[in-house]
Amino acid sequence: MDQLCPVPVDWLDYLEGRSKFAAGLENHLAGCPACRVLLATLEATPIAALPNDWASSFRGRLDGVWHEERPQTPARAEFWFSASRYELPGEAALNNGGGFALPSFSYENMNRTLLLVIGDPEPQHGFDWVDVVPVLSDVERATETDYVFSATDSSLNAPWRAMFAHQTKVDRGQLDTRVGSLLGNGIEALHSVLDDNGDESRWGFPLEDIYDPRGYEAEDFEDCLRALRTPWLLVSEAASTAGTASNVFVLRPPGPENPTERTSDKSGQLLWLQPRLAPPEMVAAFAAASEERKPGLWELDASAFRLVGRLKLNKQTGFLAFSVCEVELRLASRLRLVVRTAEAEYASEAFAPVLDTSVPIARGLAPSAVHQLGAEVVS
Amino acid sequence: MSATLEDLRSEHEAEFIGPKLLALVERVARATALSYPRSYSGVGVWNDESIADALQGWVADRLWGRRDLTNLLAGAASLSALRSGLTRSFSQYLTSRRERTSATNLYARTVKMLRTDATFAPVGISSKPNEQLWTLASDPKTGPSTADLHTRLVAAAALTNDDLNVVRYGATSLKSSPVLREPTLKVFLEHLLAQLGALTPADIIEIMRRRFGLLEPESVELVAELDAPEPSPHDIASQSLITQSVAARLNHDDSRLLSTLAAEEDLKAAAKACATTDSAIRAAYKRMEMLVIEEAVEPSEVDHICGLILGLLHPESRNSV
Repeated sequence: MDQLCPVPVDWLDYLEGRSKFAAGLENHLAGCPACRVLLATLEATPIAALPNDWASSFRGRLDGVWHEERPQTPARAEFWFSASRYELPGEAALNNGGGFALPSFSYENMNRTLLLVIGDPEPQHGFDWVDVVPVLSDVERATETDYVFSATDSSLNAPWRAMFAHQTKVDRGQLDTRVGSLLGNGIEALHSVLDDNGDESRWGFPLEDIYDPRGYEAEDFEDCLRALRTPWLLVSEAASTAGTASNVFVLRPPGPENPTERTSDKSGQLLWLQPRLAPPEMVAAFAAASEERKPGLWELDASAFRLVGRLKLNKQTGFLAFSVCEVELRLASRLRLVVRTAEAEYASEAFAPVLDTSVPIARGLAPSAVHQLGAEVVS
Repeated sequence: MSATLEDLRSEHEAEFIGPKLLALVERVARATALSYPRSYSGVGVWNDESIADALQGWVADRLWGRRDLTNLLAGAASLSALRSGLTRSFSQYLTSRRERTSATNLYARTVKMLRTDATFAPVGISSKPNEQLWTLASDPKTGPSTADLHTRLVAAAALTNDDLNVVRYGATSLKSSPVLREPTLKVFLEHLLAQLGALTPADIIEIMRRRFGLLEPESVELVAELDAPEPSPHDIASQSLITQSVAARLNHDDSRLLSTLAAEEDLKAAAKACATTDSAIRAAYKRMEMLVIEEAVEPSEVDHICGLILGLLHPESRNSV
């Protein structure tokens, strides 16, 4: 499953006898009705070579070409490309001087992703960890967790949506080259958003529902993000297992109270929802291993009820709320939601879950701060 | 001989876009455009001229304007990855261009309604249409609203999507159609002016943009004469083209599952034949339906076009409409 289709230009090459991969394409075609339709469409609509005299106005515009540099240390507000290869060393050091083994992890020949550095490097366990957020230029797709920088905000002269839902820490070795930085207004905007005081108008619009295409990124991009966040997750998890007094919070796939198990759903018993697309720092093992595309939802299928939804920060009220995307009440009529962060636990009022409604949980809490989300049946 | 990734990078560093890159982006545009319905062309048909227009707009807006070309060339680990990235960039260009047109249509209809419906009255006279203040004729105000943006958005949110029959994502909604149809557009405008006082079209557009999550309008003068028709249902030929374009943009797994569903004509039998679950096939159907909803004008079209797609994906189909 999850076989990717060739892109349309691959089929155009094939039709015109220019493809080096004709045999592979034919093999794919035999099992792919969608590509057969596309090929028929291309065959039926011949298009002549297009005029391109207009392109002369872009030719020689070297001010549009970025220059890559390799300074020793990344700094806040700089744009860096991730490295295309990385290997986690076999050992890391505890803060108190001991050491612990790390699982084997590496990647190579991976697409380089443009990242905005939002914190200075922090040494821990023998690594220099850097807080970063990925950026993409498709600002029209910005959601409420994307903060938009305009073209004049940076030396790259392009608009960006900084994807704070995908904020993570990377090892210095995972960063390759610096290509630019935020400028005056952009730096101010970054500082204000990091101080939780960002310009409201720079955030994107909330997702409509689970079918909103903005809730999904391209698979190769998600693969890159998964690979980028994995070293920190693995090191943090290994450190916690080794018993270090780490100031990185302990990472676990949801709990000893494993939420994947269907439980008896007795009144008052807390059941854990499972993240389909958790903020990356939440579920290390899942994040490192899962190949599944994940749309940012929490779900629980218990015997008393089924609940699927999304955590959102309501910018108007400042409340973290749970938006109900799917609900089926079997043996329960009212629920209470419980959220755990690294520092505290919060609970909603008891409520009767209704499709497309939101349940406020806690004021001023960002979805990315949530470690675990639970639900209990209220009698 | 095709250019290698290194060839393309060298050319980019020397002249931003030279003949090798131009040849590649032209082929990406030619092939990708044809996988989208003709409504994405801006002129109702994909031909040499409309594809050339889209190519030029894409290069100016994205490859240059957003540095997509530089970013993709620097980031791609392979020529294949570059081609995929360029395809995605062009697809996003086509999609946002169409959504912007749809939003602009709504804004234009708003201005037209303010000018032609006696419910609304101008406050003074402005030489610039976007700066003309409008008020309710039944409760006229003499100066501009003093409400801040937050207050304006709260007022706009007081009418729910259900109140306004908002046309959005969902099983029976049509995202790309104008968000509000005539009767509810008028209700919305009356509500805003009653709650907030006199507003300019620019004020109203900003409120609507944020309330309904729309793109900014195209840089055209919003005048009453601007053609901004209500959408009309597609004819048979258009439905066939939508059928073909949606089928061509399904992912591999979904097209395989739906092809089996078309052959088996039964959900459980199809699930068994594909060694998967009923819900997996339902989800594939839903994703297909969402693509159709992007194109359909009336809810009744959705089921019909979905049926046409299943027919096209049937293993015994000739895969053309």
